[in-house]
Amino acid sequence: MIHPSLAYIDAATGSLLIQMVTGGVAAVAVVAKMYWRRIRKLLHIGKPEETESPS
Amino acid sequence: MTQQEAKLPGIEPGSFRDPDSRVFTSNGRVLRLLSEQGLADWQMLSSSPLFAELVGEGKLVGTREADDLPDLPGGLHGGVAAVLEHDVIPFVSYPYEWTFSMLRDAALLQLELVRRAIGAGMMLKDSSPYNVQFVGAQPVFVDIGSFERLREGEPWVGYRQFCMLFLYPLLLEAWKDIPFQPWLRGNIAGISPQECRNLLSGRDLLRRGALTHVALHSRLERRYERTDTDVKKELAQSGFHKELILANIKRLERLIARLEWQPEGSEWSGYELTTTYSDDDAERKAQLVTEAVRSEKPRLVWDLGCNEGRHARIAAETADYVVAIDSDALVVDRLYAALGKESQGKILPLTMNLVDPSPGLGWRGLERKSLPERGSPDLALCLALVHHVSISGNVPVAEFLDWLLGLGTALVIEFPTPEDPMVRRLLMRKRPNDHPDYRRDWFERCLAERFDVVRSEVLSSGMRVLYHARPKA
Repeated sequence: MIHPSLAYIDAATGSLLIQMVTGGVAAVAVVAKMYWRRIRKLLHIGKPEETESPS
Repeated sequence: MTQQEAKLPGIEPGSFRDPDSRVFTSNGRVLRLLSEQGLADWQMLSSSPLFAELVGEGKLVGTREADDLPDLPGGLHGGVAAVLEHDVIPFVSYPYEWTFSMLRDAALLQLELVRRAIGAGMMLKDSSPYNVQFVGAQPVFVDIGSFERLREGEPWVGYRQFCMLFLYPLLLEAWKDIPFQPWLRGNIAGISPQECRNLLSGRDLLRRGALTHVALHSRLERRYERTDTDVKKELAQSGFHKELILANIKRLERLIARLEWQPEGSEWSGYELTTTYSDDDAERKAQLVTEAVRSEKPRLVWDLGCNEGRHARIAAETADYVVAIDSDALVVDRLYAALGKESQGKILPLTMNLVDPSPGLGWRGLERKSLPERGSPDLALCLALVHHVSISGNVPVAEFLDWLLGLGTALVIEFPTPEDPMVRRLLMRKRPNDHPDYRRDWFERCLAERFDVVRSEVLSSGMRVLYHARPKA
């Protein structure tokens, strides 16, 4: 489940993405999965809830 | 609307940003209004062993649910679910008044809190050095409302703010010897990734942390500036987890702990060693300060032009609290280090140019208070200071005394006569007659018009005169 963010400060998209680099080795799998999901979305494959899952 | 009308009664004008928490003061008490969500977060924090540990270690401000409540002000949208009471911080200070080591220690405290909060299933919703205060030389985190439940899969939302207000200012000072204070005073949000990138050379990018925290950070921020992608959702769906945040925190802790500021030297850093005072004069000066402090019994003392803190330490023997201010950040940084080793909790060291003291800043100019608004002193020590303010700073003697009178404070003030070697050196840089008001007789006349002189003493050199004075009733 994805929780809605209640943050009141602007985190900025780039500042969130950079955390996959600063996360070191632990981030490799997350980066791979994110790009894999983006490719699947681009090619319109996979289950709809995987690409457009509601929060 | 005037500035006074812009204030809600008692509400701290700097605490409006978080919708779940607002600070107000009442009869010297510091209280915090909480929303329903804020109350849920507080209950989670206060029931965790982490809370008692952090308060016990002096890293988190002592806090409890308030009883005997005064009338509550408005200011929290959606109603008040609870009220907390905090231990009072003796004197509020801001990061643009701190030295390098102070900001570094505050940054390390912030990182430690995020790391330990994650371990306890919590998170800090922001990363602002304005949430850290110093009690003496000890940094204390004061924003209880910053703690919230950890949302699994969500990245560290406060990372960007941490970079802008902690990391980049420290990097600039450590790597480029650029003082961060004017940057933080100039922009309440700090230094942006792009600004920091622009200030670094190609060689700087080879330094530890520069490539990721500055260059790549700035690049990604620009690239995704106008994106509509919900990256938080995407990250969560891709399996982002708290270990990534912890890895980042640990790297930042290592990076920041190794940062050093090593300037070439500063104007006054060797002053106490090179001063023309004889031992006897230094001793008489210390004696007069001791006696003045004992007779004034001040609650709050400002030591203006504190140098290495000799007189601040004397004042701290009697006063409740001493704010020791000097424009030389290196001198103050050394004082901070020394006070930390002495476990001296009654002297707050700050760096500030007294000819340009901290004004009100931020939203409506009220968010960050000017120096006197945070608490006027009962006694101000102005030793070896007037000639710098008057000659180097071009502030007329009478205007400086007016400022002190406006504070309503008693004084121990030293007037070095124009024959004093330091005064001669300062005057040599100016045209003849640039400072016609810098004369002992004029100083004494201006002083006597505003203050009752309790005692005056000419030091043995004959070139320095000390005065203990009280504002005229």
